[in-house]
Amino acid sequence: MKINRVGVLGSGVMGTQIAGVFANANIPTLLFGYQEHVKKRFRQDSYF
Amino acid sequence: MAIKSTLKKDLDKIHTFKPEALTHPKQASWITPLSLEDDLAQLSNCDLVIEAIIEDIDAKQALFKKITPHLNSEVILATNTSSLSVNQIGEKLGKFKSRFCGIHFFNPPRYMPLIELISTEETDREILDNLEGYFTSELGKNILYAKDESGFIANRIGVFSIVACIHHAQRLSLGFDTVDALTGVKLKRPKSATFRTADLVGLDILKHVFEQFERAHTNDPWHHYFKTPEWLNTMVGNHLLGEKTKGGLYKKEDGIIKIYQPENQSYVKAIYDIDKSVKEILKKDTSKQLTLLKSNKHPQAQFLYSVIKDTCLYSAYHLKDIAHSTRDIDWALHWGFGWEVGIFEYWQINGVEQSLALFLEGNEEVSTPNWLNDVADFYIEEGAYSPMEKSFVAYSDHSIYQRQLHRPTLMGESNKEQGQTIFENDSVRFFHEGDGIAVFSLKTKLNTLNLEVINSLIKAIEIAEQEFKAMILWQDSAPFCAGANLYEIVAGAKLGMIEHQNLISSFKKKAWQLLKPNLPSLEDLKPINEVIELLQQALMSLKYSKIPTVAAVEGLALGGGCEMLLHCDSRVVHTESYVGLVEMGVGLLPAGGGCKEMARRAAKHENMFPILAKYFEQIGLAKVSSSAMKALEMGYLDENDLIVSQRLELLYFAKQKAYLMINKNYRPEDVNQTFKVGGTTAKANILAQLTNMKTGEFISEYDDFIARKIADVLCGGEVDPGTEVDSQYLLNLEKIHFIELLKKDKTQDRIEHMLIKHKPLRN
Repeated sequence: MKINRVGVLGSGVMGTQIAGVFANANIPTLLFGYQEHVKKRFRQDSYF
Repeated sequence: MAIKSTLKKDLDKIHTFKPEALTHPKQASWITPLSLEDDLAQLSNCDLVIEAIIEDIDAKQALFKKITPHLNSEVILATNTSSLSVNQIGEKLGKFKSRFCGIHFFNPPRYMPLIELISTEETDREILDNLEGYFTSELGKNILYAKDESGFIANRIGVFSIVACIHHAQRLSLGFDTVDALTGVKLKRPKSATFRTADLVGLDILKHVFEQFERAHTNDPWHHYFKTPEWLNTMVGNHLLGEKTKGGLYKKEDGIIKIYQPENQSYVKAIYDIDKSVKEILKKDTSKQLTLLKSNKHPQAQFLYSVIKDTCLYSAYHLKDIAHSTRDIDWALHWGFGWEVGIFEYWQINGVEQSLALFLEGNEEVSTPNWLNDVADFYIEEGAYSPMEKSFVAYSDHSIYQRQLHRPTLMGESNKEQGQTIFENDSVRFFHEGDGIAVFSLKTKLNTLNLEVINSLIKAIEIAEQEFKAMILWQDSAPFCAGANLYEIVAGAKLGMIEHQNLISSFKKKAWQLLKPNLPSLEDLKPINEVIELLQQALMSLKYSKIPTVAAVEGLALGGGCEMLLHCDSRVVHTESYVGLVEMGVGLLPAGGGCKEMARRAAKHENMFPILAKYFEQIGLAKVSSSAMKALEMGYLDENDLIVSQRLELLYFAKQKAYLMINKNYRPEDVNQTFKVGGTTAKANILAQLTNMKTGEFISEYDDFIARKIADVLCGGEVDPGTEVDSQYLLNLEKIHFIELLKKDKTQDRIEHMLIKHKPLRN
């Protein structure tokens, strides 16, 4: 099946940049984030 | 649909990443910011959904529970994680379990080529195949399949290597700067080596990684390495976190790079001291390194030996649990950590059995897996060793790799030379693959242009016109071309060989012998003005040859490299291409037809004045595009050029482009065709702009001098606006100004400065 539209859940450091990777490839991307009042502090604990 | 303002603000963050997350700001229009609270219904339109929230198992599971009612049944579902169990994250997914897998993007995702795919016990093979093809071709990533073990492949081994460095540096009392001097480029690893990398990533994250290793790998024979070092706790406690806090293991003070001293929590000047004997070993043939390092008693040699030994044995010990074959670990280190030589490659170069004997000698505690006794090599022609299969395995046969005409292999694997050589010398290889298309490939350092390249190009075009249907300029690896060989230019200038051959004194001859060894012999050297004419001739014949020419571009395409792509009929360009006419940086102007081509491009516009002003600014400030999209905007590419995500597909698509032109019965443009130039009016406009910059002290006196020459060529010299000129007229102007600039001391100083300091001199 062809992947025409991508959803990314989480608009922190990784989520936003991952959405960017798809956007750079001209792929329509929905980036789902929490709105300000429910947003938790983003903790980036990926390694490298 | 109205976008909520807070979400819009959230998306604006995407423009603030350093290095830039987007190839062009307008790419953001592909992203729609939505709310995880209110907009979940929109998920039903998505074919692939990637969860990328915090690394917290409960939060991830709760989010999946919340979204599953909104998914369409055909969706591919993925979690992006670097440390959690993918099986555990997906355990409550019910009917979506077979459509779920793990994805590990590396940070920063735009620039890191590796994606690790992790299947669960229930993931459909079809899902993984689909993602492998999609990520490879459309996102340009390299895929590795990892098992569901904490740290997966790349971080498990790459981070272990850092942990081992820290362990042995402490044991042998080596400073952080010394460790970096030992574990960087000298070991064929990135310049940022060990601790500069730690600063870039963040010391808080490094601390977290230690804790995670200690927690996750309790039965590991190396478990005692995973205790967080005291200095790391102290630094994080004192909020010294690296780059993001402007103070970490390194700190720049008064222009001096200083290094942290854990003993007294202070900084001293970094000296990157390497012992002479160790330096010698690292310079030598890699195949002797392990033996030499072990027998050298200097703590630095012992450090390197111990770190490499540990990483080898650690990788072998865990291979079966984390990956399929040795190849997975080596590519993970290449793609995830920028190593030029993987750990099993290094081991094999030093001899698998000999090195193992070294490791075991006088050391009872070493943990080695049984399979190590069964193999003489990790890589043979047929493939890489897989302890699971107890045999050597081939690469993935996914159909997407048919587009990778030159699929890279590791050392020791089969690496057949591509195609049949038409001719080859020290600087180029000209070959074909039996399909009627000739490929011109550079072999020089950074694929720079020298006299031999220019002569070869002329010869290649002559042959291609007779015997082939098209010609492609393509390099085996980036960059496309970093520009002209400045050594040749400055040497020629210093030898008094700008316009004449006969000025060489015996003294200068001697100086010549001392110059870089890769310069051509004195007899082969031509005065610079003749070299410029040759370059112009080569690029003109590239453009006006009877056959179509295509440039396959990736990475740097600067100066003469940019002029090369400008003179091809078409271009296939990797997303990450950095293109620019940067001659100004070394006090020169583009004289290989770069100015001429930009003037020609400007002439195609109804109102050429603003276009000329833009091109002038780009050349006058030596601007380089930060992506292919930017190069298109700057006028170096055109709308018909193809931008591709996967660099390994460049040659494939260049051939497709060539076939298209062949089939359309390609005919070159008329070489004598004239075009309009901006003339004195356009030049006056541009120079007014220049005066402002000078008054504002954006540019120096000498910048201004060079800029005036650039403006003169771009506008066609002292002629009325709208005057028709031909290409040769502008090429002559380029040459005259180039030679005049090269004679100036300030230009020669700029070139020398660039060669020695690797950055431009403003004089």
